[in-house]
Amino acid sequence: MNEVSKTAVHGATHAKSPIFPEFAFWGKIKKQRAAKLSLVVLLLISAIGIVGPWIAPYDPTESNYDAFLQGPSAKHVLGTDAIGRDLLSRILYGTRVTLVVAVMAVGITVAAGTMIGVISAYVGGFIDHLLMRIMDILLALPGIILALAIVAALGPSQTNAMIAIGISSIPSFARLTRAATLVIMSSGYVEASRSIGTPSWWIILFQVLPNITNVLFVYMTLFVGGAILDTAALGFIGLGAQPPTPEWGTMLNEGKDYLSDAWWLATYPGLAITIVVLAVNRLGDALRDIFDPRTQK
Amino acid sequence: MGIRKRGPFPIVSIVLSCFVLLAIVSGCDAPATKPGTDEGKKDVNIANQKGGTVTVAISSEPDTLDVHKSTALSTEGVALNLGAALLYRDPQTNEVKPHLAESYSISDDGKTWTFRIRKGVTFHDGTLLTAQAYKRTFERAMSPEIAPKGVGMVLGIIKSIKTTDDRTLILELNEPSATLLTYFTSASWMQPLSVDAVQKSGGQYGRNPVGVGPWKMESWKSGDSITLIQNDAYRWATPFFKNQGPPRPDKLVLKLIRNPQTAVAALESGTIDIADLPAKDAKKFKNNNRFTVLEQIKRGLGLFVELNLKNEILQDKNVRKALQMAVKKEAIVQSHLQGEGIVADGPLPANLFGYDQSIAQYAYKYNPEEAMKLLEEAGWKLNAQGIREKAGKPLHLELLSMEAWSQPAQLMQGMFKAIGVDVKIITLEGSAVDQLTAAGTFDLALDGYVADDPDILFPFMHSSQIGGMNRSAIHDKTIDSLLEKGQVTMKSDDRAKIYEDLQKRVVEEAFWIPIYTEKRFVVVNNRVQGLMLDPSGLKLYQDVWVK
Repeated sequence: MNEVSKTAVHGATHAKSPIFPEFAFWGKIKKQRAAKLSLVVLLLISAIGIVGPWIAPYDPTESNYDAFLQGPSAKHVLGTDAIGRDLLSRILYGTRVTLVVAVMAVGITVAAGTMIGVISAYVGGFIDHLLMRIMDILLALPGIILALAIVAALGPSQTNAMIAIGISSIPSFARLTRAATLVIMSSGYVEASRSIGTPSWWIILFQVLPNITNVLFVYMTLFVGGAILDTAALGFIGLGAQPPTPEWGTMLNEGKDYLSDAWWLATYPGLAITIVVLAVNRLGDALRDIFDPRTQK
Repeated sequence: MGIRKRGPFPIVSIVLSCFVLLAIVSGCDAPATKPGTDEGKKDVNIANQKGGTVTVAISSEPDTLDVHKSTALSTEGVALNLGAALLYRDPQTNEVKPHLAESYSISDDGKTWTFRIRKGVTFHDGTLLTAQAYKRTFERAMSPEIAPKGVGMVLGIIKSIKTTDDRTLILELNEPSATLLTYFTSASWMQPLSVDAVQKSGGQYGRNPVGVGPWKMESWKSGDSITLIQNDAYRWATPFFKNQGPPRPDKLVLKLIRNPQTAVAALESGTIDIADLPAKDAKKFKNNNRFTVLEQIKRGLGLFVELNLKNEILQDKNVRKALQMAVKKEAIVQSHLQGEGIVADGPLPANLFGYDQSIAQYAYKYNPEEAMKLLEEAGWKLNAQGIREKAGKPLHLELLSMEAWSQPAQLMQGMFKAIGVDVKIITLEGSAVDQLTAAGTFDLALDGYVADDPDILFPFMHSSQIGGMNRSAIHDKTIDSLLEKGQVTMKSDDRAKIYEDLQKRVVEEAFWIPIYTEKRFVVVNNRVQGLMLDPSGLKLYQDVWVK
């Protein structure tokens, strides 16, 4: 059936091995310098997320009672915080926390958003109407406000922050999925399948999903950037990971009161957030360019 | 007394307790104030310097300015300027002297108190202050629908109020009281109200208060500022002020600035003249010749930990003692207060009446080895994760904290972990903390108080207050009886002895982990001269003038 879909799609865009788009664009990404750099940075950061706890020089939650608010030095490369914890160790541990929250949140968004979008577009009629109006209502609230409301209801914790951020971006993801699905739905091969009585689950699973994967993949990347920022934002206002968990946003919050006394406290976690978000977004942009038919040569 | 509790920086405190009342203009003694310029020059200037506006940062907005319906510190700081008290405490001698009362007497049995009200005092609405006005004020405060919200609870000890003529007020008490006298020195909570104005204002009296104080209410912009203007008719300042007439500046603007960093910027830009700041921010102004920094040791415990005795684990005295010895208080003072504080040994601070001078001899010292030994004895053994457990149950405790105490909470978490106690920090808003503690569903809670009298321990520790401020659920006959005796013992040596015994008992039982007494820093632009702080930190503007 893959053959059918490949030949049926107009233009070149969707015609590449859609299930694993990363193999298809690998060659193209190599041609974009910024994207290549972003990818390398992300791989590096992911590696830190995995091995961070082993390379950190100190326990990130242990206070050194003789070293409060010390600036960067040989002993504490990035300095210490107000209660004597090593900042470098906290940032290294925090990488995992931040990445896990962001990736899990996007996982929730993609799972729920794709389901809602595809069902909405495929079933149509009243169900489409109902689901989309619900999404519209949720879209009326900025994502972070929605996330705040959810965390307030569930209670502040790392897991709840993850759930809240995930849920808060479902509406926009569902809308994107629905639009992409509608395009596929109107194509001749889907119509042909329906006319010969192919079951809906088969059409969705083997015709719709493979063909919208690349679109979803691009947005997923962009959503990861947003989710990292939201994670940090929730942490910043005390609704994310709870102390003493070293989460970047929480660290930024703890550092903000010392901006004029201990610049390193807010600067380094802020830099960490900036670098990751920049890299993710840059990569997302590159992916979009690669998959967008209008930029295809 | 109330209620000034909680908060490293005065966060609102809502406390309802009977005995809590407030403190007052008790004294502006040496550590509290720092004269701005040399005396002679100052006096000359004072005579001429009228007018101007003084702008002061307040960190939280009062819920209401109806002093009968609040116990918030934010209300007290504003209402103080709108009122005056029957009595005042002389800052030099620490004696209670008459103020709005011209004289007073207490009968031999301590139950009949007679006040002779001063002549010629008028409310902001022009009506004359009489004994009847006081009677109506107290009766309003004590009325069943208002009493639970504020000072009415304190006045509950009054059996009846009589007035024989316009100027004679007679209070009959149910029993003698050692604390009521101090309460009567509160120019905020115990000020006379114009009850006519209360009735005229409908339900809006809390936004349009009418008192007898040096300042009158002008306007209140919610979330922004409260503006007071000077009361031209004011001639009844307490004698320890140089200025016995109306305040010199025209206006006093109390501007709401919640964030200390914002207050720093506003001070530097000249938008405000006076602000309370945390130690680390106040330090920056010490070497700046445009500003004067007033320092004062707060009279109370800035931070202590309440152990919930309803929790089975904490019912074991060995566990409580182990927790006491696990805390390195010096590190908390160093980190959270930049060293600008004093380690606390017991439930009372060194600058409060009744403090036991010998407490350091029997208070707990930082000793993690001993703490671990106590836990071993109590049957708590270390498991593979470094957490102690007994009968398969880990030694896990939850610590209720607030945002502003995040650092001490995290430091303590680490200190407890070092002896194998796993602590989880729950950070909540003050009102949410109150709910949980009232329900008794917590293990450890951070708290703080400021007080004028050791009777503050009554609401915190008397068994009748369980479910209210007695969050630890302390139910101890010895403590109950000492607290009760402390309230009715009038002789000050005897009374001090009672509180010494109380401190020994509280330390021995290890109900609280006292952490520190902190300093208060008030930064004043040198444009404004003559600001005084009373011992409880309230700002007194009577001698203030603008350059």
